[in-house]
Amino acid sequence: MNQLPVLIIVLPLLIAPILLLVRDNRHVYNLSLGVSFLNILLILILFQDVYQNGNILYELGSWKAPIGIRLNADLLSCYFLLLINFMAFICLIAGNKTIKSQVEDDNIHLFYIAWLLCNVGFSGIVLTNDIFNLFVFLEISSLASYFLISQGNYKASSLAAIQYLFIGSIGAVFILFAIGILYVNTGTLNMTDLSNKIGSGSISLSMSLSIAMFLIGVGIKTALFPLHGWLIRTYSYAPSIIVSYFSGTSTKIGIYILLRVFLDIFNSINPLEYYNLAQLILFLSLIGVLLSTLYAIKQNEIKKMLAYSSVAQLSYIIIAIMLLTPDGLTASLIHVFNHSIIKTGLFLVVTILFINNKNVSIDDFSGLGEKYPLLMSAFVILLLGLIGLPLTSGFISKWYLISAILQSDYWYTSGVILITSFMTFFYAWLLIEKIYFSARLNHDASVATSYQLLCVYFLAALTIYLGVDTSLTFGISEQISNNFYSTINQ
Amino acid sequence: MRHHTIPRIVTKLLIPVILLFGLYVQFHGDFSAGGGFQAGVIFAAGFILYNIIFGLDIGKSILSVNTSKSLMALGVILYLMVGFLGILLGGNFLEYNYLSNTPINGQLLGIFLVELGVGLTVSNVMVLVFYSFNDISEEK
Repeated sequence: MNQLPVLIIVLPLLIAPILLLVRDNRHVYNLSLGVSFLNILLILILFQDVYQNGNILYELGSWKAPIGIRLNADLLSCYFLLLINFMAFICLIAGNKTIKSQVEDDNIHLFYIAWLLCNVGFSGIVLTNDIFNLFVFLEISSLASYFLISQGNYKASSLAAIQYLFIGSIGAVFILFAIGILYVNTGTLNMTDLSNKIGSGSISLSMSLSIAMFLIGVGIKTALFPLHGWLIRTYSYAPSIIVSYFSGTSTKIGIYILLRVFLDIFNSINPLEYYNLAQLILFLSLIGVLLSTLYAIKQNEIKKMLAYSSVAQLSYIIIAIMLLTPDGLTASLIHVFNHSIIKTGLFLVVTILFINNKNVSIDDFSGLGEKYPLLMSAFVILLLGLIGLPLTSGFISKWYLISAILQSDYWYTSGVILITSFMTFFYAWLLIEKIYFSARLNHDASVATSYQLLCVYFLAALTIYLGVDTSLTFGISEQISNNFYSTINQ
Repeated sequence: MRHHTIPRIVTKLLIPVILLFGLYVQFHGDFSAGGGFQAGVIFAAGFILYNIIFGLDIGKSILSVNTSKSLMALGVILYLMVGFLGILLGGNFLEYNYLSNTPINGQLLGIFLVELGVGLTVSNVMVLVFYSFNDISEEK
């Protein structure tokens, strides 16, 4: 039997306690880097296998599902798995120096342990086929992330971590209740079994309660528009390398849960359509895009600006899902991948340039174009990707998003997308103007190591590559969404 | 607590019983109520009681913070190693059937080792939580 799905979860889980025994900072770093590299190789093999031969099911301890716990690697899982572990690897390479200077010496090994555990949680969420296991992995990743956020060197870091803890726990409790209600109604926790037992037809009252609770819980995790407050605070006060990592992973995991629950488990009753939920969320997200883009323009602090822009981009993804068409799902999956790469790249630049600055304002970028011509051109490429100019991956995702919207019933909302894209251009231009056209100020941007620079260049190159060759993102996203919608229409 | 004779005597009487009960819950978890989690907590409760009555200095000389952390990690590693053993012997992760000559013996051995790992980790986590609360109050 193919052991890959379990190894991807368990290898980092094994390395984490070993790191606690090792304790020496250098070895800890090398070990965690090694295991995340190994993980990427394993995921690539698994991806190849799944792409050619279809789903891989793995029964833990050979106990047959639905009684036993089963892992299910399908294309959607592999897509997210690759994204998450790739981001973790890039951020680990780039983060070494910043972690050394931002985190206390005694805590560095704990920091890497928490990072690995967080990644284990994310990988587990996307691989498991058992909904209670999904909750457990969600808690593993959340608990680890509370610790990671609290390690920022701001006074407000602990406060931000505590606030995230409360909000995250509330979200988790909603998800737990929803799972409990599902279990009472169907008597099973296995996702495949659940979706068979829920059946089609009318939705009972308790089932609709479960749906509502899932929606709120997942909404908190994805920073769905009115529930996005925690994201701004955590992104502003967490260690900057963790922000780079989370901007590409943590909210995307929420998107994964949303897709898994509403399009896979509930696919036979399709609750998003049944209650016009999709319409409600769509309009909330539209307001979210508009407001958060406006806020992003208003921010002077770059981390806050990028955080608000993250909320806006996440709203694009959610809008695309809520169109409830195969094209919409394809567009959202493409944007998940592209946005992660772009936003992680942008945050990485901020991370490696301003190790010692606590509040990085837009003015700090003035004149950097002269000082770091290559790094800044990579930064500008990433910014152009964020706006969605042609030849960048952002253009591809916006293109598919708008064409999906035009083909749906909500064609008039495409205006909002265009307006907000233009507004994105506005705040990106503020940065570009500072970088190239402003007199050089006295600033203390730190010198980046060559590894860190390589990571940024790589992400910028990837932004262009994915803007030209869309076989990875579009090809796979289209296949995933066709799989989903063919089962729904049956 | 030096002058409180009654708590000292009662504790001395109780601790062996608590530890023994902890071990009972640990090793009979596969036949009756219990298992690694419950046993770990009971075992740690006995040790924490000892610390409360006789002072942390003696407690930490028996089980220092670093030893406790290592044991905590070792518990998890033991659990995962049993899981990997299943893969090495030709089964799936955490498949105990291959661990011994017959599947039933294998299951017994597997659950025994796994629960031992759980017990080790849980008891040390409880002790570490106790130690770290104490550190907070000492800092003030």
